[in-house]
Amino acid sequence: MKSTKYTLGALALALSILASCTEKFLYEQPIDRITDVNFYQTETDAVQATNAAYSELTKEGQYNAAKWAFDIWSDVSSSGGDTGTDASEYKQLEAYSIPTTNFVATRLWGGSFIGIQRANLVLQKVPAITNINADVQKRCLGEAQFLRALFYFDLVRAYGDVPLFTTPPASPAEVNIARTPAAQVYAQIEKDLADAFGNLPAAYTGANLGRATKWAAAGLLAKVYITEGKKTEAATWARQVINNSGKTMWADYGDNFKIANENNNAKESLFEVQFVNGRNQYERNSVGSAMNEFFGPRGQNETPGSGYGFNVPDPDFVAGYEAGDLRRSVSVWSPGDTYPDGNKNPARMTGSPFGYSCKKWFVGKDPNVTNIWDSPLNVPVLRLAEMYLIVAEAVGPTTEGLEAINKVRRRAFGLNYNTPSAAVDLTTSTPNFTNAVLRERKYELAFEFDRWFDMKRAQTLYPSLTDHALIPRMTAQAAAIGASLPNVHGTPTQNTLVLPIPQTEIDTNPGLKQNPGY
Amino acid sequence: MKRKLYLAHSFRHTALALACGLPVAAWAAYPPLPASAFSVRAEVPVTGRVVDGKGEGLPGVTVLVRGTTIGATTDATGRFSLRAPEGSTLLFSSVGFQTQSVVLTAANASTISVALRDDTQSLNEVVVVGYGTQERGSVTGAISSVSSADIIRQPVADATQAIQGKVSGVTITSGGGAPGGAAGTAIRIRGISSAGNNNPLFVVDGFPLPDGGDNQLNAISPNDIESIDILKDASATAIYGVRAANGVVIITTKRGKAGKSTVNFDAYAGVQSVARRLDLLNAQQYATINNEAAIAAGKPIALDKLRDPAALGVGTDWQDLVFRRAQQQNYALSATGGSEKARYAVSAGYYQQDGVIVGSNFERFTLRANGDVQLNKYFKIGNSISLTHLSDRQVTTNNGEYGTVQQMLRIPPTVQAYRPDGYWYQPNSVSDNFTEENPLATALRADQRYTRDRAITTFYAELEPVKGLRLRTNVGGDFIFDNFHQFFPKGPDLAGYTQRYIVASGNQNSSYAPTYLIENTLSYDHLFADKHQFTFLVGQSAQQFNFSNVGAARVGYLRNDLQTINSGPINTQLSNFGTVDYPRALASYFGRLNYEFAGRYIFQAIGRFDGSSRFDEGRKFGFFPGVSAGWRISEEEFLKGSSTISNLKLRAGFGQVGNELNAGRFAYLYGINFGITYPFGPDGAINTGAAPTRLRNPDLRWERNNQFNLGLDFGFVNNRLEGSIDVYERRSPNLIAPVPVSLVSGTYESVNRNAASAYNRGIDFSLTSHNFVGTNGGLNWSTTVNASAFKSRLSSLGVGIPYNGQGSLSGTIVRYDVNQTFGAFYGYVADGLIQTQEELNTLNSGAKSGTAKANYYQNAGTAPGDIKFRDLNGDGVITDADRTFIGNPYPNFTFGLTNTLTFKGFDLSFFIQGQQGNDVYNLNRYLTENALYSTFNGTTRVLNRWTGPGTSNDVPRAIQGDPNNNLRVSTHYIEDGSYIRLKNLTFGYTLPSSLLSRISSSQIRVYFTAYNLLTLTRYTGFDPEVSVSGIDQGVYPQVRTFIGGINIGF
Repeated sequence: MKSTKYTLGALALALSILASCTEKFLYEQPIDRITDVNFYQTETDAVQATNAAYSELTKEGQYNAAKWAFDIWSDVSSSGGDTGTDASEYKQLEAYSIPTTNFVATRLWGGSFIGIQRANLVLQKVPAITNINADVQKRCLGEAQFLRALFYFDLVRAYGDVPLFTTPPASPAEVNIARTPAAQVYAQIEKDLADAFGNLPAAYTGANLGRATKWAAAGLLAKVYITEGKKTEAATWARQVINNSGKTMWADYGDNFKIANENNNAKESLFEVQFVNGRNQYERNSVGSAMNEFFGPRGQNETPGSGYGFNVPDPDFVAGYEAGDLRRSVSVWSPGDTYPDGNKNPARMTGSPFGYSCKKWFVGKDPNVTNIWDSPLNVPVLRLAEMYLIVAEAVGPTTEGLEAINKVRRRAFGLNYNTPSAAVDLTTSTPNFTNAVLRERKYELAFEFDRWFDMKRAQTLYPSLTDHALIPRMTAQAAAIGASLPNVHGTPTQNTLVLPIPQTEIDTNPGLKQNPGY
Repeated sequence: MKRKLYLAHSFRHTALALACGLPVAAWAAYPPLPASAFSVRAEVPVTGRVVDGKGEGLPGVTVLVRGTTIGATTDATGRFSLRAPEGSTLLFSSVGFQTQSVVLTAANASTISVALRDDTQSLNEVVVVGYGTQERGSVTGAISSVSSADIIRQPVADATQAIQGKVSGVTITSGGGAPGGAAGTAIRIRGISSAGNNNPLFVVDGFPLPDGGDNQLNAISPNDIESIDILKDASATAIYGVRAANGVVIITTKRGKAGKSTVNFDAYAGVQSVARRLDLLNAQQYATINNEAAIAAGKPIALDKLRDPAALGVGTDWQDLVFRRAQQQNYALSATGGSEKARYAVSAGYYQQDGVIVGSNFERFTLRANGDVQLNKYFKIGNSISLTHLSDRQVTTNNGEYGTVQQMLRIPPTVQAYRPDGYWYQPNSVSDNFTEENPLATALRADQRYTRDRAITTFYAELEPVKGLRLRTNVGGDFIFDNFHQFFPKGPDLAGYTQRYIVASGNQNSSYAPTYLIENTLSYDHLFADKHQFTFLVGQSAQQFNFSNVGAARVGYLRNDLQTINSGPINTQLSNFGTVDYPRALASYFGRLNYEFAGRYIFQAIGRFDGSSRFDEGRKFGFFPGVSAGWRISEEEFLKGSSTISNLKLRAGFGQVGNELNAGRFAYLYGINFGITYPFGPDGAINTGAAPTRLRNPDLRWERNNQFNLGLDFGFVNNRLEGSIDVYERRSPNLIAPVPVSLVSGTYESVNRNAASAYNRGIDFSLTSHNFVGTNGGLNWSTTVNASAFKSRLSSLGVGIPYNGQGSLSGTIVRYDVNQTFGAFYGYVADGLIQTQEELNTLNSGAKSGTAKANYYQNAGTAPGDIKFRDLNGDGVITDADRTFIGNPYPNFTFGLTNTLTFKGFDLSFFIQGQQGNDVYNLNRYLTENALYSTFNGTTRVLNRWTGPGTSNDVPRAIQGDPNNNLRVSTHYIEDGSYIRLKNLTFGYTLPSSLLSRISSSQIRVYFTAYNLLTLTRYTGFDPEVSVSGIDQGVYPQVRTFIGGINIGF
C-alpha cells in the first residue's frame, strides 16, 4: 500500500511538473513585432496611442469628406460637381434617395468608431503604464475622453442610437453589440467631457499645439448641452470658456481661416483639425485637406487640379447675407470676384448655375502652399464665437444674451465687437430672438459642417421655427428653388432625420437594427 | 527519482522539452517486471532454409512460432535454426514477400525448405502507422504504401513526384518541370479542405518535418527510401492530432538487416527535353497581325520594318534559344548489413539535373547513416542521420507575370537575341515597339544560386525489459540552412542599354530553421489466451520550431568580380533586413489501443492531446480522437480456407484531426500599426500614432476535420486478384476564412476566423492482378490499377463574405464562395464572337431598353469580331455582376495503371497516369492572344482570327488596345486539362547469376527508361499539369526524359 501511495505521489508530482513545463514550453512571445503585449508600456507609447485617436479627424470619415455633407445636405449649399456619378454620395442625400451603402453614412460611421476605439484603448491601457510622467498620463486620458465624446457626438446626432463602447472589444464576439439608446450615449459624452475638463491642461506650447485643451472640452460640453436643450448647463459651460479660457475673438472674421494664423491654435480657436501640406497625394486619408481642391471653383484652374466645385452655396443662402456682412466675401466666391491670379469668377460654372463656390477653405494653387489634395488649412471644430452664440441661445434676449450675440454680429460687420452698435445690434425688441440666434449661427458657422445638425436640433427643440427646423425649412427650400438647383432636391421626412446604418455593418453585425425607412 | 536523459547533453536546445518528457522517461528507472511464464510443449530443434523465387537464399527472414515469441532470423545464406514445440506452426515473413506458414512435424524438423513469393501488397506487409507498425492484415484505417522499387524507378529528385498516380486517394500535382523538382509538388490527400495550407504532414523516420511548402522531400534521396506510407483517413491520422488534417506521409529510410553485407551501386544518366513546344508566330506572321491590329485601331504602323512582312522571314525562334536538351544523372552508393548485435545502412548519393530552360540547374549531395545496436538483451539504441547539400540556379517561371517563359512567349520574333557585338540585345520602343526584357537575359543575366544544407537526424533508445513491453525515447533535430545569393552584373555602358543592364546590384539572404524533437513512448503488445491480441501505446512528444533570417541588398557595384554585400556601395538604395522568430512549439500526449480477437475482429482507438503555441492561453490544447474497427470476414469459419475468397476485410473508422497552419502567428493579439499619423505643433510636424488596425481574435482555433471512412479489402483466388475500395466523407466545420469586421470594432482589416465550413466526399479504389505468376524465371505479369475521385465544396462561409484569391494582369481568377470548390475560377462567360453590326446593334439597343439603361451592351469600342460575354443578370449590359463561377481546377477523377512483366532476366514495366475533368486557366494565352491587341508575339492560333462575319467564332479580331477587353477573365481562356500520360516505360535486363558469381557480384541490372514519353490531352499549352492551382501562368514546362541506368550489387 505504501508503495502505491508513493507511486501515486510521484505520478501527481510528475503531472504537475509536466503541466507547468508545458505551459512555459507553449508560450510564444511576439518578439518580431509590436502587439498589445509589448506596446502600451512607455510614455512614448501612450502619446502615440493618443495621437492615433486624433488621426481620423483628417480623413474621409470626418473632415475630409463625410462631414462636408452637413452643409451640402442643409440649406447652406448643394453638392455641385459634374453630372453623372460625380459627388453622388452627396446627391443621394440631397435627393433623399439614400441607399444604405451611401458613402457618407458608411465613412462617418467607420471613421468615428475608429477614433472611439482608439480612444478606448488609451483609456484602457494608459492608466496601467508606470513608466510615464503623471501630467502626460493625465493629459492622454483627457485627450482620449475628449475625442471619444467628440466622435460619439457626431454619431449620436447623425444616426440616433449607436452602440456605446467604453472599452475596446477584446474579440470579434464582443464587437457585435446592439445599439445603445441615445440618451445613454449623451450621458457618456457629458461624463467624458467633464472628466476631460479635469484632466486636460488649459493650453499647450510648441510641438503639442493642436491637442485638446480643457477649454475645448468645456466648449464641446456647452455645445452638447445646447444640442440636448439643457440650456442652463450650456450657458454655464459656455460662460466658463468665455470668462476663463483666455481666448478672444479675432477682430477680423476672416482671420479665423488663414494659414498664417492657424498654426498656434490660439486666439479664437478652441479646437481645430490639424491639416498639413507636402504629401502631394490624391489621398483623402492622409494629413492634407482636400477641401481646397474639391470646393475650388470648378474648372477655373485656381487650385492645383483646376477645382472640382463641390459644396456650392445655395442662392437663397447667399441672398440671406445682410448688406455689409463681411462674412460673405470670406465664405463665398461670387460672380465677378477677383481670384488671386487676377481672373474673375464667372457667372456660372458646371454644377454651380449661379456662379457661387465655397471660399472658406480656399488656399489657391501656390505650390509652396499646396499640391494636389493637400491644403494645410486647419478647420476649426469649435470657436469662441460659437460660445457667445450658445450663451445667447441659452439665456435668450437678456442683457447677457444680447451682448453675446451682438459681439459676433459687430465683428461680422467689421466693427469693434466690444463697442455697442445701434446699426447692427439686436435689442430686446428684436422679434423671435431664438430664430435670430440660429440665423446668426447659420452665417457665422457656414461651411463649418454644422448647419444640418443645427437644423436637426431645431426640428426637435423649436419645431415652429420654420426658418431653421429641418423638415419645414428643407421642404420649403426644395419647393422654392429646388428646380433651379442643379441636382434633385427632395424633401425630408421624419425617417431621414438620421442616416442609415451602413449596410456592411448590418451584414456583419446581426445585433444592429436599421433605422426605420432604410 | 533518477534522471535518465538519453543524449540530452548534445541537445541543449531541447533541454526544456526533455524536462517535459521527464515523467515518462523516468519510468525507465523502474526495475523490469518478471517475465511471464508460457505454457511449454516439448521442443525440438528445427533447421531449414528460406529461398526466394529464383531459389537463392534469403537473408533476414523472420521465423516465428505462431502464438509465441520464439523466433529466429535467417542468415546470409537463408539458413536458420531454432527450437520449437512439435506441432506448432512456423511463420516465415520478410518485407516484400508473402508470409508462409509451415506446420512443424517430426519429419520436416531438420529439412524445412520454404520458398517465399514476392508480394508488394501482402497482408503481412508491415505498414508504418506512426509511433509503430502494424501488419497490413491488422490495419483498420485507410493507409496506402509505396515501396522503394516503385520510387526509384522514376528519374526525379523529389520522391513525392515518384508516387504520383501510384496511390489512390492522393492527388499529386507537380508545379512544373523545373530541375530538382524546385517548382514544387503539391500533395492533396483526399481533397481540399482549406483555402490556405493543404499540405500533409511529413514524417521521416519518426521525425515530423516542419511545414515546408511543396518541396518537402527534395532533400532526401529517393534511393534511401524503403517505403512511403500514407495515412489517409482521420481514424489513422489522429495519432498526429493537430497536424493531421491533410493526411500524413510517413517516410521510412532503409536500415541494415542482420546477415550478409551488401553493397549496391545505382547509376543512371539521361537527357531531357521539353515535351511540347508552342507554335509561335514567325516574324512574317507577327508583322501581318501586328499591322492589321494597328490599322483596325486607326493607328499608324509602328515600325517601318514591319511594312513588308514577307521580307522579315521567320525571324528569331525564341523557343530554340530558351529551351535546350539537358542532361540528368544520378549516382547512389549504399552499403547495408550487420549482425544480430549491430546493423548499419550507409549511403551516399549525387543527383544532378540541368533544366530544359537555359540557366536552370540543380545538384544534390546526400549522405545517410542509419544504425541499430542491440546493447544487451533489453536495450537497443540507434540513429538516422541524413545530411544533404543542394544547390540550384532557378529561373523565374510560374507565378510571375514577367518570368522567363512568359517573356519568351511575348517577345516578337522580329527582335534579335544578340547585338552585333555579341552582347544581349535589349529591346526598345523605337526599333522594336517592345520594352520588355530579352528572355535570354531574364534567364541568364544574374549570377544567382540557392543552396540548402539540411541535416535531419534522430536518435533512439529502446528498453524492452519484458518481451513486448517497449519503452522508447526518440530525440531528433532537423536543421535547415538556406542561403540565396544573387548578383546582377554591371553591363557595358552601350548605346541602347538602359539602367537595367548597366547598374550592378546584389543581394544575399540567409536563413536558419532548426526544429527539435523529443518523444517518449511506452508500448506493450501481448497475445492473451491465444486469441486476444492487445497492443497498447502511450507517449509524449514535444517539438519546437525556430526560424531566423538575415539579408541585405546593395545597388551600384563598381566591379563584377566582387559580389559580396561588403563590396557593395553604401548609398540610399541599400537595404538590410532580418528576423528571429520566437520559437513555435507543440506539446503532445497520445495513446493507441489495438485489440484483435482471434484474427477476426479488430478494434483500434487513438487519442491525441495536442497543445500548440499558435493559440491564446486557454485555447492551446485540443483532443483528437480516432476509432476504427475491422472485420476479417475471410477468417470466419465459413470462409476460412477458401481459395476463391482468400481475403475479405471490412473496415470502418472515424476520427477528428486538426490543421493549425492557417492560423497565422499572433492572430490572438492586436498587431500595432505605426503608419497612423496626425500633425501637431506650429509647423504641422507629422506625429506618429499607433493603434491596431486589425481586431485580435483570441477565439481562433485550429481547423478541424472530421472524417468517416468505410473500406473493403479483398483478395480472390489465392490473392491473385487483390484490392481495396474506400469511401469517405471529410467535414471541415470551422475553416479559417477572412471575415470582414464591423467598423464599430475601430479596426477595418478582415479578421481570420473559424467561420467557414467545407466537405470532401470521395472514393478510392485500387486493384492488383497477378496475371501470371511464374516460378523459376517464368513469366510474371502483374497489373495494378488505382482510381480516385472526390468532390470538394466550401459549404458555408458563415459570417464571412465571398473573397478573391489568385489574380493576374487580367483580373481576379479565383474566388471563394459557398457551394464552390476551393480555388474555383470566377469570371465572365464568353459566348462566341459578335459576328455582325446588326447583332451588335441589337445588343446595344437591348442595353438602352434594359433595366440598366446603358448606352452599350459591352463597351463603346466593341465591334463585330469581339467576344460576346453573356449577360447573366439580364439587365442588358455587361458589368462585374455578370461574372460567375466558370471552372474547377480539380479533376473528376485521377487514375494510375502499372503493368510489370518479368521473364527470365528481362523486366518491362509501364506506368500510365492521368486525370479527367479538370479545368486549366490558360493564362499564357493572355499573352499569346495579346498578339491581336498589342505588340506581343502570339501562337499561330491568332492566324485564325475573325476577319469578317462567319470567319471565326472563337479567335477575336485583331485590334490594338483591345477596346472590348477581350482579355478579361472569362471562359475563353479555360481549357479542359484532362490527360492520359505514359509516365514511365522501363525495360531492364538482369544478368544471370551464373555469370555474376564469376565477378563476385550478386546482381547486375541494366535498364532503359522513358519518362513522360507520351501525353494525350486536348490542352493547347505546353503541358496540362500546371501546378495545383490549375492556372498556367508561365509554368516551367514538363520534360520528357530518356535515361539509361545500371544497378550493381555485391
